[in-house]
Amino acid sequence: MNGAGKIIARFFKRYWITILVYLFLIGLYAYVANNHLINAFLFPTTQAICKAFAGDRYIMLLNLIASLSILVPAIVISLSLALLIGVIMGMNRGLRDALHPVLYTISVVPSILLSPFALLLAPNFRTASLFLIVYESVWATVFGTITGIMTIDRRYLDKAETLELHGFRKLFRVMLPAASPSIISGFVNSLSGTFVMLVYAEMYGAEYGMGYYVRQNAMLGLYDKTWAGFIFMIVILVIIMQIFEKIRNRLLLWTM
Amino acid sequence: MNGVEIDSLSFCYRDSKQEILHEIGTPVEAGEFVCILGQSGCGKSTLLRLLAGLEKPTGGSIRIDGEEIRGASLSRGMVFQDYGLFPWMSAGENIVLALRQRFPEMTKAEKKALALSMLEKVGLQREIYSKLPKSLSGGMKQRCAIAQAFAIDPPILLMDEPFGALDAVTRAKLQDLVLELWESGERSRKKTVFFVTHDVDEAILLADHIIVLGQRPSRIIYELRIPEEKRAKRETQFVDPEIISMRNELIRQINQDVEQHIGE
Repeated sequence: MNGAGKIIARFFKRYWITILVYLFLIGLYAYVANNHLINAFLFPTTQAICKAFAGDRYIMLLNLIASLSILVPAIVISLSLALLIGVIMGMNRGLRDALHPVLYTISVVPSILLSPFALLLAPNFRTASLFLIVYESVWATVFGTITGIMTIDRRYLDKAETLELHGFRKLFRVMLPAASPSIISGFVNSLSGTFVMLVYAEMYGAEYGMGYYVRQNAMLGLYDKTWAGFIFMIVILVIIMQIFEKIRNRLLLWTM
Repeated sequence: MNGVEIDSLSFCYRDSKQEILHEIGTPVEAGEFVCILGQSGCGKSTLLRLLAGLEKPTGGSIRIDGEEIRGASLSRGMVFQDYGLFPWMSAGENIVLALRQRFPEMTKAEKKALALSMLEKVGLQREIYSKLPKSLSGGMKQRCAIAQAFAIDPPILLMDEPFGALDAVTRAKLQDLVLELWESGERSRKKTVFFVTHDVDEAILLADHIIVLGQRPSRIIYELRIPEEKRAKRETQFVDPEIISMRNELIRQINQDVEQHIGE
């Protein structure tokens, strides 16, 4: 068996139950919808959904690009902000004691509650969306980073000290890698919140995006397209989650 | 010259009133192999941390060639019992990081070449360079840590029970390796080694200067300097009457201190 064949065989060996579950769900939907056992208006046939998929593939692609143009900068901003706040507070006990309760209080406010203010006060929808997504996703990574930095094994820091590692080199070569399990765990936990907020923002204020596509077609009663958009969104989000999972596994290889 | 003068050294942790070390003092000549011997918890590692500059003494001082130490330095390499290598870097990257700190003028290729040659010197294959520490055995990890310590060529080497967690055979091999690396230098360029252990036989085999620490607050209860011609050899360590009497005396001193402590 060649290299590609081996990868495919390994994939099926690992995920055959997952594939069976998905096939069962699709089969169930097809059986129920194609035999009109359920509201045909809300649950169109699989053929109709496939047709909507094929017909709107370029529109969905454009909406995907629009969604990613908000999602990617939001994740970058959220991660940078979380690392900055987390590292500073993790390293400084006085600051941590003083500001941890404040951060905690702010973090428990759901960003959906802030959405009317954000949409009204921000200069445009993009800024409001960015703010809401960052607000939703930043806290888990902040707290993960604080915990990670606080709990770095003293022996790593001693080792760094004996090698005269200071400043940014110490931060990037020792502290962040040592704290990475906690940071990444916080970040991965925040990802689902990021997607929820992205879709929410797109459904209620955007003119493009995957969430907008679903909402627009649902409002027009085009449920074949709504389902196509819905499935497309799930596939994209699962792919993004899988990419992050791979990155996480690569970064945390030393812990496994 | 890497002579070390430990003078009336005392130490207690900031948040504790209990004194760990009490007025420890001894001169250590350049190129000596000093074993710090004592029971677990007596403060051997604390003394080593003070020598490393990782802790500040609450009394007294440590001077190297007359200069008081202030903080950790690359001129005092340290080998820990565990966590000697950063687990998120490969064995080679760990060595290269130390080289980068010690010799910033070296090119990337030079550092890699030196790291590879050090791995070979400590008996490891070149393939180990790209392996993460988690995929190495305890003995291999310690060989890498020793390679790292010797690669940066510090005049003073501090070793904190480096073989404490290893099996007897691996430990014996690594003891020989450390001795070989230490003895390979001329007396004037030889590293001054401080080696913490609670194993009397290990101390006798390695050291030419043994410091025995007593119970807390720890002080030096016995000191032994072994002349070059009387140094222990692995083959005769347990049959040579002189070495046996040395061993018995060390054990007697440690036991006497323990009994005295229980009596108090």
